[in-house]
Amino acid sequence: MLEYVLILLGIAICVCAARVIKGPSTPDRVLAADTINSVIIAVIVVFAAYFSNQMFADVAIVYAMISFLSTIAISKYLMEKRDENAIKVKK
Amino acid sequence: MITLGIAIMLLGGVFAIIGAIGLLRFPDVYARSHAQTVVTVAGTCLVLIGVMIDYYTTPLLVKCVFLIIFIFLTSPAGTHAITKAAYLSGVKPKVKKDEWKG
Repeated sequence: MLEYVLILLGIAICVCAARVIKGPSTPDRVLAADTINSVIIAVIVVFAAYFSNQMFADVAIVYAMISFLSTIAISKYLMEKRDENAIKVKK
Repeated sequence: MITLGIAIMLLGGVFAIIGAIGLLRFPDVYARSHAQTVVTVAGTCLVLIGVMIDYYTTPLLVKCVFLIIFIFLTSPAGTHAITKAAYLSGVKPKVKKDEWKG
């Protein structure tokens, strides 16, 4: 029965990948890629249950940390090249 | 045979698809961040809770608890960072009055 869970999560990943391809701006793509990361964490844990192998869950923990780090890094990069007309920063 | 954990995992998969459709159909980045939260909290965490219920005698339980706590801590921070970067890099929200700009 775990295969059906994997099929549902795979459909969700495909729909998010459509947004990654379509997305008009860069934050759209980053947001959809972050969504794919969080679904893949669930996929790895379901794999750990399916093969009854504990090491997959450790991979999921490290994957969660790296995905959070990459999201924060890309956000900092986007904040650096800010548009001056978008907002006047209040001092 | 469907156990309780399998049922909760299937519910989490359905929530993941619902959130992904929302990610595809909402108008701008700030509305799509809402759908991203649905996928992360409802989808991923329900799948992890289902694995916890079915495999409660293995060390997978502890790892799933750690993962759920970690996701609950980092998901709001990541979404906040992305939306703030989107606003500062010039993506206009589709609203009548921009309250941050004043």
